[in-house]
Amino acid sequence: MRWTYAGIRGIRLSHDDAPGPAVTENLLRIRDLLIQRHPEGIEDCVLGYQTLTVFFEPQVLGRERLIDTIEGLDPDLSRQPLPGRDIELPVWYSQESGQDLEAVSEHCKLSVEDLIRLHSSKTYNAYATGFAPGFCYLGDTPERLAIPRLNTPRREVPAGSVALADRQTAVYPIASPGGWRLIGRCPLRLFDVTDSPPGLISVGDRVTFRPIERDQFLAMGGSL
Amino acid sequence: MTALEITHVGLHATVQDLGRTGFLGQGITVGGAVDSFALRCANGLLGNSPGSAGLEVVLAGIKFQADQDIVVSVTGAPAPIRIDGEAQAMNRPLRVGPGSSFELGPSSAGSYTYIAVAGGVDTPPVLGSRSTVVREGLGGLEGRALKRGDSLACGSPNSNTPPLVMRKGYTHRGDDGSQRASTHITLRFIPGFHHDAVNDECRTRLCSDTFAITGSANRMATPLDGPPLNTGLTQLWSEATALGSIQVPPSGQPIVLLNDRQTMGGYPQMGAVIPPACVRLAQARPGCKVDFQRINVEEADRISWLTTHYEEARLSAITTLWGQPV
Repeated sequence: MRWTYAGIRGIRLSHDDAPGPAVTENLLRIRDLLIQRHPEGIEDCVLGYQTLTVFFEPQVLGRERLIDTIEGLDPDLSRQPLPGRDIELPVWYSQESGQDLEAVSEHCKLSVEDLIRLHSSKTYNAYATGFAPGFCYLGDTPERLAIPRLNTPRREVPAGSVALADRQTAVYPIASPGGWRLIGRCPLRLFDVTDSPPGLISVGDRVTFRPIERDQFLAMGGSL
Repeated sequence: MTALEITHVGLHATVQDLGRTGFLGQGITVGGAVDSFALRCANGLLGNSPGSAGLEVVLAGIKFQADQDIVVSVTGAPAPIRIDGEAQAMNRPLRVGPGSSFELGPSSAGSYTYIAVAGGVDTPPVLGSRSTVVREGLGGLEGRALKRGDSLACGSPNSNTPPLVMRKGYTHRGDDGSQRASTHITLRFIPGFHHDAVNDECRTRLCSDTFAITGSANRMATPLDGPPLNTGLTQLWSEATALGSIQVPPSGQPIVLLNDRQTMGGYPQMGAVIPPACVRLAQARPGCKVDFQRINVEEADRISWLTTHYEEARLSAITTLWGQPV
């Protein structure tokens, strides 16, 4: 673990190991410990695949104190229960709800049925939240589903779109531009400012997808 | 309840306060007035609390009418003001009578002008802030930029809203540095993020080359133009960005991230421009030349301390001169 500056009020910790569930767990533990040690003064924490960036309020928490805490952390933070939850997301996989489904099946040399089976048979780790409010990067997808992003991002991807890029998958929580490949849609609301936290998925959660049909999608509040 | 009726928007105007903090981990950006000191001054002139929401107007002005007597103030990038056709000064409280029309023209220098209203603009707060982030659809009026026909509710003025008189002999010279027409600025930055991982040439050239602000600068970021830099880094894992982050994408043209930045990015970041320099950069116009200067964190802290004390002194002078009956 190393640290560098992230501007005048940020410290960025980076893990030496390759990203994966173990690295995320370790970063989550460090985040929770830092917040516990400094309940006042830490304004925000952002988890990346390999990094934890801590933003502090310098008038409340001095940079030196925060760095001392970081340098004094037990490098072997383990065997503590993690707050991560298991989340199941219903998905209506179809060309109608995910306009790249057939193109992806062609690219991956898989039938649409096999593609759906493969995508919905794995438990994904929530590695990071960013890009857009509540947008959570989930991985890793099975190697056979790896596909590059679109060359030109779409101007607008509908809210709820389930998408693939490289070895990652995600659900677009709000309508936004995006370059990932769309394979279906989830009827649930993934981001609501009146919820606490406003995003349905948080880093550290484990996410699975469950195929549903068009009528179920509509019955669950999904819109086209 | 008083309401402002927007009758014209020149280019882009949004409701802004000091931003939405504490939600970066949820992918929600900070937003807030790009020139936050200018907004605080505008509020100070009216006896508002510093974080009251006001209007941030980009380059080309705005017009509105009020249904009742209101007091406003204008700070930031200098622009002509007319109330019912009569020219008015910036940096002082101005009364706008019921049915009168208030007109802010195009700014003559700088990019962001601020209008505060006694009592503050009272759109519904979202996650603790009224700041509009158009990309996220959050804050302000329905999460979008203002347009003609919008009606903006304003709160009740504080009882300490100043009378429209000024002490004799006092000339207010404006509230901040944003009225300077910059043609060449130096951005001091704290190295960090991937700074030590990029190649030596890229590190050296960031500080020795001169860049120029491009026409696509906005509240999210200021993209720069210059001889391309090669970081030597490919395929990074997405991670947090910071205010002022100097991103170097594969094109080699650096981008400095500002208030509405995406909370995470996958490009190499060389460090972060210090906050007062971010304001100067945002206020500068396309074509302005930009140099980067690396400073250590102690130097950045010293500048930050001086900036904070300068701003506090100016704000307290404004409150003293305008905030009490004479």
